[in-house]
Order: sequence, then C-alpha cells, then structure tokens
Amino acid sequence: MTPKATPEQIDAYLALFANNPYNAMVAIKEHVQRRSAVTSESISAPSHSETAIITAQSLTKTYKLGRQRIQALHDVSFTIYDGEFVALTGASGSGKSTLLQLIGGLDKPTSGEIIVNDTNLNHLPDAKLSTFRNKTIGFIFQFFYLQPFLRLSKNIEVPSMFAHTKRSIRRLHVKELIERVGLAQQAPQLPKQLSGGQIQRAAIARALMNNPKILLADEPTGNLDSTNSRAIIELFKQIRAEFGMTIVLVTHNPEIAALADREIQLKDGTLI
Amino acid sequence: MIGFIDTLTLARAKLRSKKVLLSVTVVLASLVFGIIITGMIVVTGASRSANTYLQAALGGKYLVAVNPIIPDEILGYGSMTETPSDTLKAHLTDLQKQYIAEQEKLAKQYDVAFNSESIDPILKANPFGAKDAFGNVTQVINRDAPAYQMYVLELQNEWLKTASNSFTDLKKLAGVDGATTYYQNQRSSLGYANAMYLTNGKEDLTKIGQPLSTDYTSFIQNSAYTFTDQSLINRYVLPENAARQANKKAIPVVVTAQEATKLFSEQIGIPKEPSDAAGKIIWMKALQEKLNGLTYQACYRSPGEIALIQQTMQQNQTDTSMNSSLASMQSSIMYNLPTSTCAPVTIKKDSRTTAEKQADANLEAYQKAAGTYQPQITQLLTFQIVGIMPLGSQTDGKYNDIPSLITGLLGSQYQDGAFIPTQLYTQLSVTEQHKDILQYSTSVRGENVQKLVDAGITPAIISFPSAASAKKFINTNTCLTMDESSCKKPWTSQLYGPNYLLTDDISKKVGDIAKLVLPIALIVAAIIMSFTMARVIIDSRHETAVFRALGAKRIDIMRIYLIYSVMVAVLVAIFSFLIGTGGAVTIELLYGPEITDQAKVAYGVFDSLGKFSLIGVDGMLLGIVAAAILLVGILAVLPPLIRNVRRNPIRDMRDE
Repeated sequence: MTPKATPEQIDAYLALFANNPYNAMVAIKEHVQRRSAVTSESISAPSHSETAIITAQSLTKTYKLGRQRIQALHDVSFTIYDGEFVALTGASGSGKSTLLQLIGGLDKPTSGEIIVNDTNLNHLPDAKLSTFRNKTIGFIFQFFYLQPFLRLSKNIEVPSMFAHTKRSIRRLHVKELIERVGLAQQAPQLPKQLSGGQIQRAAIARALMNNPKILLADEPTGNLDSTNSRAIIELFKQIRAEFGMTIVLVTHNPEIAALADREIQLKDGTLI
Repeated sequence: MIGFIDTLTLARAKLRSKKVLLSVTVVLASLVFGIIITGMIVVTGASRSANTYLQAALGGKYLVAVNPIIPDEILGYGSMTETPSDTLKAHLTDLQKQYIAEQEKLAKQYDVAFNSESIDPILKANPFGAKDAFGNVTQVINRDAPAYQMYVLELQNEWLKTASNSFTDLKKLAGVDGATTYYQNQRSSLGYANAMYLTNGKEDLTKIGQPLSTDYTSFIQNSAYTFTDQSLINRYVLPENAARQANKKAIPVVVTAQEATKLFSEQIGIPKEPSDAAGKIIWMKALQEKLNGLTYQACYRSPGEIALIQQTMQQNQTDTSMNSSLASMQSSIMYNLPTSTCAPVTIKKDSRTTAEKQADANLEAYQKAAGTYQPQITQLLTFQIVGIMPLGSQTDGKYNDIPSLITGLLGSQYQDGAFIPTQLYTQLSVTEQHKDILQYSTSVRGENVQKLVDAGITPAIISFPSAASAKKFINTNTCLTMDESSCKKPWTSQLYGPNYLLTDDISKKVGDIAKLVLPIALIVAAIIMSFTMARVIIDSRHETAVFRALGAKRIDIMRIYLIYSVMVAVLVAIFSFLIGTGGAVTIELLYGPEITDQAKVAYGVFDSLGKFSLIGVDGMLLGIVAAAILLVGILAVLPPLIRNVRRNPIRDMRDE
C-alpha cells in the first residue's frame, strides 16, 4: 500500500516549493500519481490502525423544544479508530445525526466529552472549531447543499476558500478531485444541470477538498436509488483505501450499514 | 479568514438568488434616491444657470439701494391731534411771535400792508373738538403753519448732532464690507403737481395738478422721473437708431415695457403682452424696435402759473354766472386762459392804477425777500424713449410656479419706473436739459430736507463686489424692507436690479428641504433594503449553516453578506443615478425651452445668453448621496446578519 501522507505532511512538502509554483505543481502531480497506484486488492482488504481518532465519553445531549426537553443522546461512549469505516445506524430519531454533529464539532454535548484527533472539542472556541471543521472534517449531507449559483468546480473549491489555500494549489486539487469522482465533463455546470448521483459525488469531492482526516456522511444515500447508493459506498471505500481517512456514515439502511467495517447502533439515544 | 476574491465570488453567486425580490428592492430604492438625484441635478443646474444670467445682468455689480431712516417729526410730520406740553406750547408761541415780527419788519421794509391775523397760527383748536378737563377745546400743533417750519429746523439741528446715517457713515460702514462704488439716484423735482403728461399731445387744464393714475405703470403720466447713473441701467439702453439720430434734443428716458405699452400701444400698433414666454420675446423685440426713439411731451407750469390758471378758471366760471359788468368790477387785472397746448397765461385786461401797479411791485419784492414768491413759468418738455426694461417682479416674494420664480430670480427690482440716464442727459445743451425745472433733487420726501441733504442724509445705491458682501452689509446695517417703522437700524435697504440674493435664499430653502427629505428617503430606502436583506439572509440560513460546517468562521459569513449588501447598494446607486439623470433630462426637455424664454424675458436681453439649463452636477452632493446609499445598504444588512451569525448552525440544519 502506498504510504499515506497527512495534510500536514503535504503542506510541509509543498512549503518547500512555496516560492516556485511550477515545482509545487510538479510535486503535487507526483503525489497524485502515487495515490493513483492504489490497487483493487487494497480496496477489498481494508485495514485500520489501533489509534483512536474519535473517542466519545458519556455523551449526553438534551434539546429544548419549546417547554419540552428532548434527550437526543444519553450516556454514549465509544471509540473509532484511525482509518475505520463505521456506520451509525438506528431508527429515525434515535440520535445518530446528533452524534454525527457532535463528532463534527457542529454542536456541543450537554455533558460528557468528545475527543477527535486528540482534541477535546468541548474546550474549543468558535473560531477554532471552525478551523477544526475546515481542516479535520469533511461533511457530506443528505441534501447535498451545493451552492445553486456556483459552478461545480467552484462548489468543490468552497472549503479551501475558508482555508485560504493558495489559488494555484486549489485549482490542481479541484481538478484532481473532479476527475476522481468522474465529473470532469460537468465542472463548468451549475448544480441544477446535474443528476442526483452526480450532485452527491460533487458533494463528496467538496468534502475531500481540504484532505480531512475524517469524513462524516449523514444519510449520503438517502435520496439516491440503490444503484447510485451502492456506487457511492464503493466510492467511499476507494477513498478510504486511497486516502486512509476515517469514515463515519449515518444510515438507517441495513444493506448500506453492512458494507461498513463496523456498525454502531443507536436506539432512543443510547448504544445498543 | 476568507480572501477578498473568494468573498466576491460567493457574494456574486448570492446576488443571482432571489432575483425578483432583489429587482423589486433595487427598483424601489433606486426610485427613492433617483427622485432625490433628479432634484439635486435640476436645482444645481437652475441655480448655476441663474447665476450665469445674474452675472451677465449684474456685470459684477451687486447693488443695494439704501434709505436713511429719519424720524417723522424731523421731517415735519406728526399727529393731527397731538396736544403739546405746556413747555412746548410756550416755545411754539414764541416761534410764532418771532415769525410774525420778522414778516412785519419785511412788510414795512417793502411798504406792504401787513395783517398778523393772516399768518397761519402755530397752535389751533383740535379739529375733532376734543376737550380738556375744564371743558375747553384742546389746542393742537398746526404743522402747516410757516412758523412750525422753524421748529422743525430746530429739531433737525438737534437730531443731526447724533445722527449716524449720513453718506459719510454709509461709506465707512459699507467700506468695511468691501463696497466699491456709491451712486446717488436723484428724483427729479418734476411731478404731477407741476408737469402734465400730454395725452395725444393735448393738455386738459381741468385736471391740472392731479395725479393721473397711481399704479406702477404711471411714472410717465405722473412725470415722476429719476436721474440714474447710466451704468446701473445700461443693459436696457437701446442702440441709437435713425429716430434718435434725427432728434437729439429730447430728454432721454428708459421706461418699463408695461408702461410703454399702456401709453403707446395704440400709437405704434403693438398688441397686449402675451402670456407665454416665447411670445413675450417676440413682443419685447417688436416693442424695442418700435419704441426706440419715440417721443412724447409734458407741459411744465410753475406753481404760480398753475395758481393763476386755476384763479382764472374760477373767475371765468363766476363771470358766466354773474352779470359781466359786476364781475369785471371784482379785479383790476384779467387773464386769458392758454389758447393752445402748453401756452402761457396772457393778460386780458390790466386796469390797475399806477399806485396799484406800484403796490403789486412792492408785494412781489416782499414775496421774493420772504421766499414766498411764485414765478410764472411754462415750458414744453419733450422726452425720448431710449431704453426698455421689463417690469420687475410684482409677486411680492410669492413664487407659486416656475416661471414666476424665474422672473423673481432674474427680474428687475427697481423702485422707480422711469429713468433719465445721466450720461445721456448731460450730453444735451443747458437749454435742452431744462435744468431749472428738472433740477436734481436729493430730497427724501420732498420737503423740509435741505438741511438733512446738506448733512449728507440722503438715499444712495451702493455697489458691492459679491452677493455675500452685499448680504453682509444688508444684514448688519439695514432692514431689507420698505417699512421704516419696524426698523431699528440706520437704513432700510432694497436690492437694486436683479434679485441676486434669491439664489442664495433658494439654495438655503433647498438645503432645508434636503435636510428633511434626505433622512426620510434614507429611512424609507433602508426599510425597503433591510426587509429584502433580512429575507435573503433568513432564506440563506441553511446555506450559512453548510458554510459553517465546511469551516467558515463567523467573520467569513459577515464578510460574504457585507460584500453582498455593498453589491446591492452599488446596484441601487447605479440605478438611482440612471433614474436621477433620466428624470433631470426629462424635466430639461419638458421645461427647459419655456424656462429659457421666461428667463430671457425676465432678464430683458434676448440674444446674448445661452440656454437656461436645468442640468447641473454637483460632485460633492452626488458623492454624499452615493455614500448614503452604501451606508444604507450596509446598515440594512447588519441587524439580520448579526442575528444570523449568532445562531448555532446546527439549528438551521436541523430545521430542514
């Protein structure tokens, strides 16, 4: 298997060429070529390290809905390891989306702790949480949420805009990702010109834009037919093999969940 | 933090959403600002054009006519029923005695019979019969008594000791404000009482000594002329034509178009003044051409001659009603009334004895010594029109429509309607000038003022180099009114010629209106824009939440929406300027030609001036509006934006 390079390593590597964009592009190309050398064998035989990348300890989340208090999560503890592909399952309202949002730093638990990539998210101020989401997490939403008036390529570029990445580097990366998800032809198009499957692939490309360590997908196949759903999961697997990232996928579909390494099941806010 | 170009990219994408709402907002806000911009362009243009016209009209002279304020009693006026104090009564009685003694002495000297009873008393019974506490009719001052004039002279001497409005004072004070030239407009001593305008060349003796009309187009009919430095009315003086070359002996006169039409329209075949400005221009041109060089006449008769005519007319009337032999017994000298226009009275029969003739000669000598002699003079005066001026504004400062405003803006504000330009007048020979009867008079009110005139208490016209300096002088030292009674300053004043302060007044009024309208417009526009911005931001909550999930900081979201609102504001600004300019151009096309004609009529000269444009751009004003639009755009987006950014992104994702 090709040794995985962390985003930090890539950044450090690119920094060597900071003053020479041509050299930087050559370096990126080489990096991309190394990634392309992933074999089908390596996809079918996934492996992950024993390093914990997500640790949840006694997570509780309570919402106020009018005068009612709704307990979305209750005393949830688990560990997800670096490189793992985990499916979060459960019925509607079981708390799986809430858990995903806590992992992604979009929300904070009422009590308990969530440690992602050695960072306790409870203690991060808003601006640092934003940076955490931007650099560490890649989000894929059920409803895709592409900007309707931005071309596909620009939509994919959005996370790197917030990361203030150099334009030349961005463009190369966008090109690479767009080709990787098979949308090179559609790059100049607006989202409304694309099919559901194409939009979801674009959303995946966008999630990968900043080379995150963790990919969080909330019902990514919820709006797709079974063929497209399977194709998306295949894509996730390839990505995992290729980039070595951790994937947490929320689904209520057992067939999809079965394709993951492991399943974490929730019922009424607690782990089963 | 997100870079500027990326912010622009995301904000521009935002601009493509909510197109209908955005278009309505941009159009509505642009309309509000567009109307303001139209107003600004038109007012600036009109003000600049007015100034151009004014500059041409004024020739760099900002004129102020001033009148010194003189208390009524100093001029010999006062109440008909004023009861003097005992001290004053005693003093007046002394003056009366002194006067009688002087007259008696003179009468003796010239061997003329003298009756002290015939002298008008200085004190007389109250004409309304008012009684004092003891039931006696009170005594009041008889201001017509010759001895009273002695008292007036005493008062004048006293007043002059402290008076601070002499010509010297004026020069000192106006000099501080930069006055450059001083003119003294002098009313001619001619008037309806001694000079009759000859309608169709005929003299109606029955109307002698009566004003023919009292309106503002009757200066010629009442023989009320003012000697004026030609430079003050030069733009109305017409070039010399054949008619004027043929007659260079007449007294030159500049008259108002309205008065000239009233007197001569039938004679020269000029119709009434048309109401439309374009018609007025043609009318004025025809008037100038036909009136230039036209002559008319007036008959001057001295007060002595008039008295004789009136006496003779009365005598004739008595003669016809009585036995002629009886009537002829009444007087030893009989006169013939004039037999032709402006002919003198002639002696019909002189049956005086030598002794009577001697007595009459003595009386004449005595009257000359006493200053009461009235010579018998008759002179035919010929005047020639050398210039036409438009009648000044008669709107009394009420400007209800644009044409009257323009007329007020540029129209002449001369106090006297028939002028004799002094430079042209002095070119006449001494005889032709009729100086003895048209003598200059610097009188304030025509009587009892020689002493004041000698002390320099006279009206004057002052030329200032700018409207600002004239205004400063007017405000500091004068009351801008004709009403002396309410004025606490040394002079009353009036603008002389075009109203150059009106542009200033209008600018101020426009400024006041702008101060009121601009904030209202800004508030209205802010409400319209903030409504849309709030709507757009609320509708973008999911998008904001997604951006936050993808790593956007709060400041990034702020930047995107601020740039978005600036873009909207720039759109509003562009459309506002388009609407504003379009509005101004439309107004210019609709009203420009009419106002230009109107301005030319008001100004009185038709060929030398360009268009009265209603388009003028004041960069600073428009800059302020542009800045205001931007400010409104940013302010409108802030409240909903702050609310939105504070929200937890997950809340908005959960709402889906």
